[in-house]
Amino acid sequence: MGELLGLTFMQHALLACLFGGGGLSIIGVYVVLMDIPFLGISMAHTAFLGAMASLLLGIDPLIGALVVCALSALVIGPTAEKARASSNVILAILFSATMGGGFLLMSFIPGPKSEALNLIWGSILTISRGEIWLLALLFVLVLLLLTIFFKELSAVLFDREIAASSGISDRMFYYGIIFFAALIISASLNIVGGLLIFTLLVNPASAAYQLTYKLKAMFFFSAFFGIVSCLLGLFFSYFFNVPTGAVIVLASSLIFALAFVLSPKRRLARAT
Amino acid sequence: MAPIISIKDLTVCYGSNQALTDFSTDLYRGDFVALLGTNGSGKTTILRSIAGFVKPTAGSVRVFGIETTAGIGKGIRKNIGYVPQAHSIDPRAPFSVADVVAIGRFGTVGMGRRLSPKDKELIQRSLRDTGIAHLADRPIGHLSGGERQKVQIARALCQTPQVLLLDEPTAHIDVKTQDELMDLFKNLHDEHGITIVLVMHDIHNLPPQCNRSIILSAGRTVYDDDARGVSPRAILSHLNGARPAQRMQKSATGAERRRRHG
Repeated sequence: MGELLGLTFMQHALLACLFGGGGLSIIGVYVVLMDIPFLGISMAHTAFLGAMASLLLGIDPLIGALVVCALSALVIGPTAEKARASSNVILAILFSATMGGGFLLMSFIPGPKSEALNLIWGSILTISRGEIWLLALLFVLVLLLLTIFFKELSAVLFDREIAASSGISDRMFYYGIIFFAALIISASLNIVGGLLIFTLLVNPASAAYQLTYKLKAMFFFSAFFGIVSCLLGLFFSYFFNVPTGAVIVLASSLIFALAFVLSPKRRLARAT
Repeated sequence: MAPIISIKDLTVCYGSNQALTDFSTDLYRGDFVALLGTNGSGKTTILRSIAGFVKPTAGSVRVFGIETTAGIGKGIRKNIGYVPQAHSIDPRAPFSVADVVAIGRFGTVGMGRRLSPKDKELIQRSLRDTGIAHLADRPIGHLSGGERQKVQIARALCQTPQVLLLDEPTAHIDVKTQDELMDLFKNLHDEHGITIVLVMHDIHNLPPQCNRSIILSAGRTVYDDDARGVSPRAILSHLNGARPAQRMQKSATGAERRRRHG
């Protein structure tokens, strides 16, 4: 094990688990509590579309994913805001359209498509030092903003209109959350890939939701489950030679299933 | 005395549906106003317009002398305690009663700042005044409908508002809790001097402190005058359009009220 941890690519992968898995799971708490899972899915697939466009243009896919995803937040944000009252149908159409667009662009990439395939399925073992720095920066920034603005964010998460009625700029915080979701999703694309990244937004936070009535604890549990899912995926894939992204997703789903079965809330609901 | 809320010719449309037509009224400090009317008559739209959540199609809403048509400022919002209609809350929601009540202080405290001991005392006082101090640590989703309404009222009280907007606070609540809430509104009005605008469906249970009734039908005012002495039967006949003559009386008594308030 000591020898394994001495390998540079493994150190990078561990840091990606910590910062990427942790960051996505923290943002996931907003996605779950605001009941906007399709927003996360749409963002992930938009990042994938941006990355494919970059590969086609011969530039770093991370840049394309970041730019397109950040820009898409301007469209997806208001769409989700309006769709809140009706349904997620518009977002569902948007995410399928971006996915289709991504695959179409991929088909135009000349030569071997290994880099493009890595962006679909993820390739945590090939993650670069630059990507780690970006993930670390975003993770620290998200934690810092969460600490400073916890009371405003908790009010917005409880009910935007009630937050607004007490004088909080709910719209500013709502769009801030979407913007940071876009950045973290884009930067984490290499961990599990564009196809499955939204599971790291939804599963750890949903598992945390089953276990606590305290918002702070929910953030903590969600980050913990996100990091543990990534670590489990990493080690399983290394020792059993299976795709990392797929195992990360299965691990996070298993954690959710355990949390659901053991949930004190579920037992309470059954008792009443 | 100048009105604290002045609404002039307010018209609100939701798409092709005209929810409110040329609604005008002035509310004065110390008023206890009941907004009555059938479903879809525009009561909630008036409340939400005062709270700054509705963009008027025409007309204006001035709160504390400031026009809110172009968006309501934080400074005004914290003076208005808004209690929306009760809606369902997931029983698993990760918020305690104290968490929700504290939201009332957040706008006043300022962005990124922590609650001071004075803010925490105000939260405790609001919990005590509404009779829910013993529920402070309970998850919000575990409360009954009436208890949740009290939580929202406590949250609004925390803002130390000058005006309290209450949207059907007694809907779907048992008779005993309705009485408790009515006593609470009486106390808030009489002892705290808060101006109250109350949307009600139950015309038989208007609080005795209520000094004005505004009756709406299909987005138009059919009565705006003294609430005392207005019997449920009279309200029903206004809603049924049986006494259009009262509309004439409305403007005269409106002028009388303005004289009364100086």
